[in-house]
Amino acid sequence: MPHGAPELVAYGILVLFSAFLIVHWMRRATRPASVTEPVGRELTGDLTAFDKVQRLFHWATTVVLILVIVTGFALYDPFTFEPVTDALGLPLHSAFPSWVLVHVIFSGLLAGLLVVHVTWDVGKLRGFHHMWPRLQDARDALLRGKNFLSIAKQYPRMGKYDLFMKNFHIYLIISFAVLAVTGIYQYLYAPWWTVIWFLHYQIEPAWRPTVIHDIFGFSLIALLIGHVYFAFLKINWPLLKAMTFGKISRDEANRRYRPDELE
Amino acid sequence: MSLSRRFGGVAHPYRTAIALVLLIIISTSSSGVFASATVEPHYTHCCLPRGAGHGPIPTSISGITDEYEIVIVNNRNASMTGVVVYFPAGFAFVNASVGGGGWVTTILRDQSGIPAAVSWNGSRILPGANATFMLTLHNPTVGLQLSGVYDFLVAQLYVNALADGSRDPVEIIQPIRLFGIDSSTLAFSSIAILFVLLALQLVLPRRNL
Repeated sequence: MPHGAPELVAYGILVLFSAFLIVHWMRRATRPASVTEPVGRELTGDLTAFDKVQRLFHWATTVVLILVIVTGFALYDPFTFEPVTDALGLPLHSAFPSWVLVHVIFSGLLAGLLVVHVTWDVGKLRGFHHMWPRLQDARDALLRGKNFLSIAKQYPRMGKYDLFMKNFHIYLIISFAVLAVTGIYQYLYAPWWTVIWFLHYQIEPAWRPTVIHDIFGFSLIALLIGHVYFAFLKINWPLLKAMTFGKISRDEANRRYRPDELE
Repeated sequence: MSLSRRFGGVAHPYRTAIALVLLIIISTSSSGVFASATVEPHYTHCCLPRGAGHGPIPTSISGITDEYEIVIVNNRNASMTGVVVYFPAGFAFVNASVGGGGWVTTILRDQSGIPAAVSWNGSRILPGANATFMLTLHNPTVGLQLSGVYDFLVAQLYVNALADGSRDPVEIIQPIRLFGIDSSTLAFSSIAILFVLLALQLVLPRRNL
């Protein structure tokens, strides 16, 4: 039995989100999205969409976040995670404090990466406006929604970040803040892993930081799965390539994107 | 199955007295003082590893009917002539059986007539040997976040009126299921399907999803 949030809520978030994405895939497999919006200013050469620091931050964050999620999941539901530790020959039930420590270390590393990200993208590149939702994003999302439901045949061009990615980014900020506060509180004041299981809830305050931590954690996992899903959809491969190699080709940019919004 | 139902008590009054004294001693002492009996639900063997709940104790599932294997080891130099197993309140008796011949099974009931224990008499476990008894019980129902640890009290009676006892805990948990499937399995299966669909893009070359 997991610690913290009820399984129905935690796994239910993953099931619901995955089910939505499966429906999305089915829909797009039968009715692919074809851009109908005419191109404005055409690019004459390849464009650097992400510089080296941005790409390094993105992939380093990916690796650290996966490690945070894996160690966090081991702590949340050790019974389900047990086959993995058994296969690796790692102790689990008897080594909870060590798993907590590793989870905390990777979380600290993630916080360090976020400082680099904010310093570079906001401080140096002045790119905050790229991530702030605009009215045009809402219009685009509405049109895409109508196209998805076969209400409209039009499909808009995309900027570097659409409404979903911008909202995802806003959720990341909120989520990291909540996870940090609840995580630090557990670590300092309510370390449930140091007491016998039936005392877990007795050492917690009434606002249940463990439950909040788990629900936000699983919501984050669900959104990350969504992020990976959309990144790997063929339609978004140009941006995935750009996040790996930096550049987006002229042809790809002119075919599907608003070149002005890619810079 | 040799099952005899003699309602109201065991054959020998002194055995009942010894068993009751043992019950008091066992229930007020810390578990693990005696270690010559183990109680293990079948569910621990088939579906959940030991300690699937919160500790290294056998685990079974809320509200199901499960078989409990009670292994008795005779650690004394005298032959063991009887075994009494008190199952915890909330468990409903369904059946009792024993592998070897000669044992007579007796159901002991509480004042309201509800089965509360089972005794086995009429045969012997020789010094150093062991015997396995089976109890089929309907587990109590526990809440989603409120698993319960229940103690089985096992009294062992010897030919020279000596007695041993043990308190064996079993945890009853409530696994969550969505559409009849374990919730974690359903979640990971959904994610796996999603990534299989993503991989399918490679064989749908003309589709820009």
